[in-house]
Amino acid sequence: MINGKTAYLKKLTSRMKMPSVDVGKELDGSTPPSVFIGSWNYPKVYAGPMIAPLSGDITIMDMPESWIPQDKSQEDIIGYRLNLVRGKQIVGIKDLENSFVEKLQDISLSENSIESEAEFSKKPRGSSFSDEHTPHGPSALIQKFDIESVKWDRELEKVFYDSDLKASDAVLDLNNKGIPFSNIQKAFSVGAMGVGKRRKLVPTRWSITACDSTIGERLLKTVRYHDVIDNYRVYEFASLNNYYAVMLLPSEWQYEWIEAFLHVLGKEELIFSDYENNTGKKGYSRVGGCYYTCKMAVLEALAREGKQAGAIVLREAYNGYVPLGVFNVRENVRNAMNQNYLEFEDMKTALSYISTKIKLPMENFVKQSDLLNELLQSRQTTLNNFIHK
Amino acid sequence: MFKAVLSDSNVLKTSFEAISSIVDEVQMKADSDGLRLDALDRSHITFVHLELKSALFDVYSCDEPLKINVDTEELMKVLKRAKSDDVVELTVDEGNLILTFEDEARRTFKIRLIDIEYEAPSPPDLDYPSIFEIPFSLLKNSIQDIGIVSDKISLMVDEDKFIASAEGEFGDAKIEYLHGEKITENAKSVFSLEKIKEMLKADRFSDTAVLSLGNDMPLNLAMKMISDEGELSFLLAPRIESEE
Repeated sequence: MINGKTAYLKKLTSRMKMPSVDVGKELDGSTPPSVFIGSWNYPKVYAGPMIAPLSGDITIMDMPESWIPQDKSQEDIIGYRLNLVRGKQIVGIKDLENSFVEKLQDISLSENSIESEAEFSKKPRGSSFSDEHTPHGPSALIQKFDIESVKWDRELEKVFYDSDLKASDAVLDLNNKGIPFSNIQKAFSVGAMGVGKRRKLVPTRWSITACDSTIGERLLKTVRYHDVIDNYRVYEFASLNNYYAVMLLPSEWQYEWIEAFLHVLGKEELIFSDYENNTGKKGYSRVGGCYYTCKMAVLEALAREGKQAGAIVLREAYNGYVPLGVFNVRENVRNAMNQNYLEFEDMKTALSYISTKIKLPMENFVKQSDLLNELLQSRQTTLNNFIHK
Repeated sequence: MFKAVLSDSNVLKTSFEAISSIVDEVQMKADSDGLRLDALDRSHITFVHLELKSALFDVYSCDEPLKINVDTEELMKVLKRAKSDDVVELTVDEGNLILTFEDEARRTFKIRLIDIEYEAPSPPDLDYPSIFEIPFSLLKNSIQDIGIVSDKISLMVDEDKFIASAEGEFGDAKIEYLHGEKITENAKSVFSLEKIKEMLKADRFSDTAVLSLGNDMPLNLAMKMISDEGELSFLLAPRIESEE
């Protein structure tokens, strides 16, 4: 079961054959700004810029935060991504002091899209889809690479020059200052923050989860101090062939992520889940990075409201769903948490409301879950329940 | 002037091991009778009560009643630095709780007092059908045994035995102990293992634990010093099975 989801998504993504942009050995274009660090062959990894054969402002192509608010369709998003050509070179993760990596850092700290020129060893080919990172277009080894001069984001620049600031503190600072997640994650992945000697390249997919869980854990520390909400609440959101329901419980923090993939490949109905009780989670989640990204998005909303709650998050992905990376979960859950919520007296009525919105019977979710199942069997009372007896 | 000297640092250390895992901030009250603390966790599941009578201390003086508000995590950090044969001295100045540990050197720590509005919680007043004593270590071991199969524990008592048990997805566990006390009414309640574990961190307070149990009622776990000079007790709300 632990590898069930990975195997399923591999099968799903390997079937994604879509025409990506056709470019030659030489490419004259722009980077949104965008970089990609692979995890294959770690610690000597394929790192490089992503460049589109376009000019002008193309920041939207690598800014998942804007896609849902700007109502971009799945086709728009895939179109952006498959236009991004990934240039790559093998780089040791600690080998930051060379002009190639410096250019990557330059790109990551940039405020705007950057005119770029690249020469590849051969014509870039293929495309890449994955459950964790956002898809991208063809790739090839890069031989020559030049960019125009770059104007850095001031906050990112400060962090870059502060070689005493720990990477985790830098991530939190930037997040508190409202810097978009994808910018923080990019700078994190190219070793542009952290204590001087410990800076290194971090593969893109790992850097996403590292940033999500760093921010999530810190938010949780404050949320634990807040008062528990009074009733059950349901937040929901649907986009990109997905439906999300977040049920908040009047309890101390506990969290479960339950996701169903329905008829995406064929006739399959698969459910995966993972959870943590109030003491937290040991080890990496069996469902992957989406677990941490959803947790972060829910905690973000709780911290903003100054409340504490437990959270059960249900997701259904339908036919037509294309894995676009964990941003899909982050932005959908964030959007859900920004909607008005419905309030319920007890868990049963909250769940029966959600039942009317999901396609699978609720009992399938309950059967697969740990925490939800447990909550339905017995409930934790409080001492207040015994005061007037 | 408040001053309290204790030759055994373990009492404070073990009490706050438990207290600091239950509440983040706490108010201790000092008066001429001694030190006491009543606290309720944020989710109102666990109540803790600590009482250290003036007679327990080697030196104790307190001219006027005093409220000492501290961050329990900060206090615990300092208490962890105490060795078991250290003599501990507690005093308070403008804005600080001062802890001094003394062996071959004199080590002083100041912990900032915090500004909190603290309303001493009043726990429910409960009548228990069954009250009995068991060795603390037995309770602690039972919890660890149960932890293998489940995160819930059922505590049960009948006229002969105290039974801790759990049914897990992959197996069951059961611990039975002949308590040798006069119990006339059976009682059973289920608790979160995680919550019981927090209370049992105070494992050096006393060798015996007094348990008060009812049916679907809070657990009262009390630890008294033999000399009756100190008491640490907890009240834990149960988990209740859903009707359907």
